[in-house]
Amino acid sequence: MSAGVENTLNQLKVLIMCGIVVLIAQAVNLKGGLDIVKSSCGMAIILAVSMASIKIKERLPFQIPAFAWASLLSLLLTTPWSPVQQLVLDTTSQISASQIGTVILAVSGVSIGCKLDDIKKLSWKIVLTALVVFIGTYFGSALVAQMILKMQGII
Amino acid sequence: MSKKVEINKELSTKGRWPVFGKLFTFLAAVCVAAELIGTISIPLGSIGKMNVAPMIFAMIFAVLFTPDALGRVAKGLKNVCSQEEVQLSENVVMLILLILGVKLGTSAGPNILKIIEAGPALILQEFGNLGTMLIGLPFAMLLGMKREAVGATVSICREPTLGLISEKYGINSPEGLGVMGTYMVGNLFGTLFFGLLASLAANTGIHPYALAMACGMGSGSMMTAASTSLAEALPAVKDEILAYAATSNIMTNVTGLYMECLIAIPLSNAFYRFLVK
Repeated sequence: MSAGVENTLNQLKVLIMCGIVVLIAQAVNLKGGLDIVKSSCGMAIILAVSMASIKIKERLPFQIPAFAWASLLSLLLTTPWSPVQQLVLDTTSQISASQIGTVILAVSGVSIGCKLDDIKKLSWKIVLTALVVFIGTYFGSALVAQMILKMQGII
Repeated sequence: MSKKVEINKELSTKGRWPVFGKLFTFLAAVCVAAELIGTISIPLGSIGKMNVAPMIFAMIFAVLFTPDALGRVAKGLKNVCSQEEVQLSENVVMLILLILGVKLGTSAGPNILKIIEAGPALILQEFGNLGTMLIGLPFAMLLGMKREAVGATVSICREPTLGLISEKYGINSPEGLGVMGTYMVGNLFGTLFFGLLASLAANTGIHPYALAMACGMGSGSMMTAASTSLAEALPAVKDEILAYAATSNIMTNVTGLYMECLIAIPLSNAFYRFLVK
């Protein structure tokens, strides 16, 4: 088996396992109201698009992350002009971003597990500065957007 | 392309199924616990309220059981979550983010006309990212930082910035250390912080659409935390929030690097010289 194929298979295996955990979180969140067959189909579609975005990113020379490709591809699949819009929207309707978020934050929680010592090394100055930076970015963007949307009369 | 492809050993399942099994069982358990707790709303008097979403609990539980946290005290925890699982999880983050990327795209697609209509705001709010430096740079210098301040406040310092600054100044330069600092803080606290910040921002009176656009900062995990907790705080416009956040994030991913290279870094240097005087 060539390295490329093996990598692809491994990525697929991990994605499937992630998908299952997301469905479990979703089932708990909906307290048994999850349509398992429909949502599994939805998850299969999501995983297929995810795989496609990894491959696009690997093949194209631009520095655009796979994450951006993933949302761009599925945006195109669900525009009103797409023949599969209804299929994709129906099957994925019960899989919500919040529960995917729960699993993502659990994974990122584990992933910083061996870096807790680095926290102690960071001086309080850089921590404070970074938090000010985050607040500045967030509200800077929000205020500009607010201004333009007002000018356009959208809000 | 005939680039030699190497096997990514970290993701290889060969002989490592127990590691995968343990990690994913652990993740499932953490997520079930977090979802059972559900969203907790903390009233903050006149400011409004702060929603603590299940994902925040999931992250806290997950960190607690890692080798560096409770693993230090209870050696037995190594059987649940050891260094191997932590390393695997670093590789899993990038993949599971794609699932979210796809889901967010499906919120944006049906709303494509609304998004095109809001196009000018989506594009121009990218300049809002310069707010980082306008507030951050003087603040960092007040705390006594020098050239480190330029690196630390040039943007929210994700991987592209790290690459850019280390190419321009070197990663061991003061500027490089600054970027590294903000980058690390972002890795450690970014998701947690933005999750809480966005939920608080829902009380500021800024329109939900504008807040949603601000969530797309170029980091998948921070955008997730910010946009989903904003959506939980304002369920009536949930779809629009996710749609604007996702599109804004695509935009930042595409334009962010050029924006930093051509505008943010030169501006930051000029502002630094002005402040030193």
